Amino acid sequence: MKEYDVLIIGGGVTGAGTARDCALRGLKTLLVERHDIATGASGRNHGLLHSGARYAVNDPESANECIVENMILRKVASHCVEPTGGLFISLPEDGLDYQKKFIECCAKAGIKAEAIDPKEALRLEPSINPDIIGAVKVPDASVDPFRLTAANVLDAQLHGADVLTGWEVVDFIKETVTVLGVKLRNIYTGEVKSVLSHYTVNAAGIWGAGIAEMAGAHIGMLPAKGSLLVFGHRVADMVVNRCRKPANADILVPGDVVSVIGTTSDKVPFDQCDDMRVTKEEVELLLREGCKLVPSLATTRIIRAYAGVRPLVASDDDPSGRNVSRGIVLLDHSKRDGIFGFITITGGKLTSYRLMAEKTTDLLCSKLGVERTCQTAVLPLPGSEKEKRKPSHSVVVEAAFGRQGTRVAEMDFSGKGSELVCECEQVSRAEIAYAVKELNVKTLDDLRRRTRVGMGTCQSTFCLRKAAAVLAEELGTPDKADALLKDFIQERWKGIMPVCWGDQLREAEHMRKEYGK
Amino acid sequence: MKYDVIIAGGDSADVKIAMAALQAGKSCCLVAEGRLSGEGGRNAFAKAGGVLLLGDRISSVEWAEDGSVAAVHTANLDDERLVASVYVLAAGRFFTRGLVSDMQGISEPVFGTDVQFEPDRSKWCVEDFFAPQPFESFGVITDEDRHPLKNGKAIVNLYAAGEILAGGVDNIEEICRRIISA
Amino acid sequence: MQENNISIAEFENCQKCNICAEVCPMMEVNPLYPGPKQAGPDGERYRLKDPAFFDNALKYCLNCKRCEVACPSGVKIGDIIAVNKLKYYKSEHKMRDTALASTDLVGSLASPFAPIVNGVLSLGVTKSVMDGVLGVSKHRTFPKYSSRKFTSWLRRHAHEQNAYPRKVTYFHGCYVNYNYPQLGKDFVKLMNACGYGVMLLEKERCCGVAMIANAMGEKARKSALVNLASIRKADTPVLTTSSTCTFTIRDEYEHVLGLPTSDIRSNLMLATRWLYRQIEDGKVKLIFKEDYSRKLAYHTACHMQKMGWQQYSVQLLQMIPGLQLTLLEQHCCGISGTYGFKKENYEYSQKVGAPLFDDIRNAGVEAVVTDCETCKWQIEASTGLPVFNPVSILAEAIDFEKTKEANAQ
Repeated sequence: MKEYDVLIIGGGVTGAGTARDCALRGLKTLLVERHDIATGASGRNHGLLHSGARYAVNDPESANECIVENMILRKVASHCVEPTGGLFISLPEDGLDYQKKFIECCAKAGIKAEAIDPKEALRLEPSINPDIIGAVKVPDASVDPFRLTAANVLDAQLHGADVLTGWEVVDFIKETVTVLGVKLRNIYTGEVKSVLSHYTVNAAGIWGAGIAEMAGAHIGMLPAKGSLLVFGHRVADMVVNRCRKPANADILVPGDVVSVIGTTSDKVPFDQCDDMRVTKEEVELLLREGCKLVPSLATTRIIRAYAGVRPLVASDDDPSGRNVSRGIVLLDHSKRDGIFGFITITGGKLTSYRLMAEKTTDLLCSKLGVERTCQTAVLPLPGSEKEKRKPSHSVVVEAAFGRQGTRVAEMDFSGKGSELVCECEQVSRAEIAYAVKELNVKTLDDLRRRTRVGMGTCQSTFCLRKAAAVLAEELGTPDKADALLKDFIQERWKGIMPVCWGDQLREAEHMRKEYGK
Repeated sequence: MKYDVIIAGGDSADVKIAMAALQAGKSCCLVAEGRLSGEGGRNAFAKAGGVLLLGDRISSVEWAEDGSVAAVHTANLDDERLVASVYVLAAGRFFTRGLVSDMQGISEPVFGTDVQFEPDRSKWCVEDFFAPQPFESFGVITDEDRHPLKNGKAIVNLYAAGEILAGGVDNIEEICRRIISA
Repeated sequence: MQENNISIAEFENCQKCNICAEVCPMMEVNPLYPGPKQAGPDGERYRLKDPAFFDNALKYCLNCKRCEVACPSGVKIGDIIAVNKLKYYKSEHKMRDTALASTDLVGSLASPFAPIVNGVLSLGVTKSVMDGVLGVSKHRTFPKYSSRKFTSWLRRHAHEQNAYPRKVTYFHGCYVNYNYPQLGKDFVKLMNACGYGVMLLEKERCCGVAMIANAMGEKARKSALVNLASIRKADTPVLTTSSTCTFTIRDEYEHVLGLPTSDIRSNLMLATRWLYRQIEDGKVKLIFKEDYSRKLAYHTACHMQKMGWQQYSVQLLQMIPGLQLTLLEQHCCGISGTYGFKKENYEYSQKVGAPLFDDIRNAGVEAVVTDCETCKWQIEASTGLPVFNPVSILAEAIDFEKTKEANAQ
């Protein structure tokens, strides 16, 4: 049985970032994830790299964290980030009072927020509502959370960390008040094993409440569901926000080749966190509000709806649980609960994941007596290295470069390699082979998170049979193709159902004829 | 242009009926917006002397006073009156746009016939992808003789055939018989 | 709340059924061409993110529009490809493409020296120079230039044309004007027999199809504006004898060049469409020769199929007693205007046309009828059979005097 310095529970971006930081500082690290990387809140959000502007008025501390991290991630995670810029637009019904306060607060938080003429805003981003009375330009950006998480996991592994996906924590191994490790169960095979570690980090997002409970500590968490809609293509090239007190459906983000509008915000019970459904009412609300930002959304094909759960943490000093902390929450359970060897990192945001990882790793290092400083703010993630590169003039290679950055050099596009598998998203056999080899892929859904397979207009109707066959072959289990296909299509179906009308209903009928019988 | 039969096509029922009409010695015009995958039947229809208006669609309908179809026009032949003694609606379901849907509901765009569907959009699909889906049984309502209804009244020189029918009945052979004897 | 999809050329209606790829004649013969689905709606999403995703292999598209005809979703695939080529395509043979596309200019220069030009163009040495230096396939023979332009001929006959009380205006196109005035003369004969005199547009430029195909958007737009202005001024129907010119003006001006044509669409049509309507409405009568006898095959040109007008030409031809007409299955002939003249395309062009050539050879006919002049070059060069426009066949088949008499007012 292998002994680790650190065992991290949760393969979201925070867990992955912490695993990377720990590995870079020479700690023997294990990352454990129940399903796959970025399956929780990390992969179920806007994909917005906040400038912090949205928080400037209500939470200046978070706002400042965001802008600092935003600037860092543009450099170290350049292949995951698209520096689109963002606009905060004011509609006639919003007035301009908020805008004034907003600009002042941005300035205080160190965010460059520049008021521009509405005409100039429309020139910069022609898709926005032409009725706007004001606009502010901010350094928002778009980020692909799957790629970001995968690159962190990959770098952790390249620096000696071990990664287990598909392993669920079923119990803690404790000696009186000290956590010694965990008992794991494989979700596919049912196999059970124990792993020991000096420290165990709970980075399980909303599921962290249950993990803490299992370890004997209580964290007051409030699951808040946020629903989003995916539109079939790029409607806007900039992030578009509403310049008002944060509310429903007031952010549109261009994410790779699609557009995402969100979110709603509703408290949900814990037992719903594993199976989120987007309701008809949420779809209508998102659409109604979204059209106020960008009117053409009313005539743009919606390909999917999804929802995530924000892990809101109740402040420890408020027993009512009403007072919610939006910032980073790092809990040393030895001090808080008298449980040793156990740390929880939660709260925060996608944009501040690196800082969360840094704070966690700093704490671990001080406990383990390791004196190595954090390098994640300067060391580029694998794929984001600054390299001179000639464009290939090949659509498949450039699409792969867009997703995997400089790692494209590891792919073999010769022969069958350049053959397209997912045509909507220009995913080739070479990229799939690379993902299987380097990025811990077990299912088509895992492959989708790393390559965009099946995320396009047809939601896999066209490529599914081929994708399943290619993946099964690459995994060395060619007889599993049908099982891979069935699981994946059921998962795609879940997201199609809430938006199944118009062209998406046509696609649903097409999909059923191809695969339903 | 005058024919015995004009078919608003879409699904594979269209060419089966069209061929049956030709074989019975009737002149037939088949209007279809797109090809069907792996479909050689329509070429055979054209070769056998049928008039195939491919990549075209019926863009407007002239109605007679008694509520029957007087003539149709297509997008390409917009100033041409296409007249037949019998018309067939075999335009398929959603994929072939025999039925169109939006957030509010479902309609049949060519003749505007009555459509049966579940008004609550959230019940159009069921969770299990592999189970029959409610939307697959939506379609055009007809009388006993397969004449589609429009505002509750049968259109007497129009038949509906194939997937576009509510409830997914296979009535292709029946329609062929009715056309031949018409 | 949500209305139907509106997207550039309906690209987002695409259901990824791949039927466009199944009917694409180029994809079948050329592995370098990504095919209509990839080049069209799939590629469009990526180009909207970054124009660097434009793939120069889009140059292999024939613009035959067979994908659009086959698409069950109404996606204007060919338009998407054409628009992107205009925006982003960089030719490796700029000089050749410009020369090939400037049908108007080259025609005006060549006509006065027709015997010399024709002689030089057919010389082996010229062909190998054009092949090596310019990239024009040496397998191609240029259509001969006529020493007298059609327009010069018609102007000389203006007086008699003006004598007819009713008139039509003729958009003759470059081919009739510089290479094949006989078709224009046949058109005039047919119209005269129907009781109509023929006039020219105030100004006519090349329809621009070759400029569009060769990514010369600005030049095409200039020509288009001249043509549209003239057509707007015409106070009679404007008739044509080329399916491609007609299609270009009616549809491509708006969809590819962004110039609205809805106000002229109903006034510009193929002569066969106009004539069919006149006959149907009882306004014109054709009386055919009693001893006429021909065995012909009709080939539906791709743009004819896209317009859906083959019925007009076919039904007119079927009115001719003594004419035995075989309808050929619709295939692309592969030439696609200047496309097939390019060295790098010659082989693909011939492979695309092969099934059509086989059909024609097997049809046992003496000649082929089609509404497109570039199909004519290709079929003549590849099968050895003569090819005629339906207007020429009609002009040949009518009893001129009797028809004229029947239509005299």
